[in-house]
Amino acid sequence: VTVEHGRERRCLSRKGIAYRISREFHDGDIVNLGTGIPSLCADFVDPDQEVLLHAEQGLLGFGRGARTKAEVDPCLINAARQPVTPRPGMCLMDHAESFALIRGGRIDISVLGALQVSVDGDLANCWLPGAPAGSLGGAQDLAFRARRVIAALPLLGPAGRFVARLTLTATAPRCVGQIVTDVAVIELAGGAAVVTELLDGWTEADLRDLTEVALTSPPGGPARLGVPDDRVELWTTVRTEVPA
Amino acid sequence: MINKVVATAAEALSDVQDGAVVAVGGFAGPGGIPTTLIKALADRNLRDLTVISNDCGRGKEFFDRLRGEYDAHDDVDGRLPVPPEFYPVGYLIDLGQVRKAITSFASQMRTSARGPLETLAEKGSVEIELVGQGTLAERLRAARAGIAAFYTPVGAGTLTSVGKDVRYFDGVPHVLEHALRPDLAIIAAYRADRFGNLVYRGTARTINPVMAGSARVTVAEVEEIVPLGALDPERIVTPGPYVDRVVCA
Repeated sequence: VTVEHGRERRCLSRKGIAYRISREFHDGDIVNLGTGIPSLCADFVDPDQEVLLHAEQGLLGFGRGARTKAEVDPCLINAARQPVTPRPGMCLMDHAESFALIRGGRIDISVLGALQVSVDGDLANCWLPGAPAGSLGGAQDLAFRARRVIAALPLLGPAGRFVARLTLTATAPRCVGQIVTDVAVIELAGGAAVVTELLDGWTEADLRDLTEVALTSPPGGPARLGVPDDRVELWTTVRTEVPA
Repeated sequence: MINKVVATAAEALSDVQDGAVVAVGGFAGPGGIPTTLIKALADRNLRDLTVISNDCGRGKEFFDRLRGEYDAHDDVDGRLPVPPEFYPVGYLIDLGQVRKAITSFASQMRTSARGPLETLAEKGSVEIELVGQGTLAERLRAARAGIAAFYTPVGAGTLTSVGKDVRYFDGVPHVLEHALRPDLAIIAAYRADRFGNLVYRGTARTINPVMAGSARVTVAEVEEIVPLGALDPERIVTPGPYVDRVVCA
């Protein structure tokens, strides 16, 4: 074990992961944001880009989250039950139409929270281990039909989140193309996991202690995972406790 | 003369029977959840209901907690206001009136605390049919549109397709899903006229227009009933024939 136990170091906060994911959005993209970390991405979309954010209950083209109570409209919320703000060009639709948009393949990027992801891109995010019931929400529709699925998957904390084979019930097979973690960005393709970006202060060896998956890196090694240094909300510290 | 307006929610639901299959509108909430009708239905104290609803995982206590959190802070930070008296579909589950739930959200997805439906499921006293949201909406839409069943690519090869017919179209496996036809749909909208035409507000629209007309009887609660002709025909989302009764919330 090369991760030094009991040592504090910086890693991305939930907002930091959301920030990094939002760098994947480009002008013209239709992006669905799931609940949890994904819903935080709305606050980091580049305002100069026309990225159409989609909430599964039937809202397309909304803006950042409401900041003050004066901005709150109880009838303008995201899929995570949080008030959001309107943007020019925003449109509303009912649930059937909203999922026609998803099932019909119009979503360029689906950002989903995950309990577990396998190296093959299998996703588990609907059934907690041992729970008597699950919650599918719109995750299955999105995971099956979005053009690209990005999973927000913190690796520090409970072990067993990025695995060789799912141990939890699958939401959808072979759907996740990229995972953004609290220390690295990992691309999944053809059964391989390539660490494309790594946070300063972390090594590839550290990362190998956080997952059973055989990791590879591009020639020359991973790029630096760039998140603005001076934005404190994007960072947190962790005291690494990795099981031997 | 056509007049679908009924004086009270209690009157609009006076003929619902034990064992009825009831679709309840809304998503996430509180906007779009027919809270007046849910309370009136709960007051009937019926037994063995089957509820079809997007989110059955959270009871009244969850929304009471949300209200408290919003009111306790000056900033917003993702918190949402909840009206003083608010009854979600989970209220019927809290009261033990539900035998079966057909829903997209059965679990609160928290390891720390179980919701009312999870607690009952653990005891084996409620049946749960977990359906993805897109499939749930399409099954209701199909019922209204007179379509018996359809094939969807979503869920093939996973737990949700077990026991269902799978066919390949263009090389892709598709799962047969059947229309869902409730006895009753209770929905929420913004405004109605006496013909039952409905308009909605913002994200409170959700699954309400999809449930309208899916059931044998559809009852809508609205914030305001306006004179015939006051609704712009171009803006009406739910045409009157899908709605049987209208009450003012």
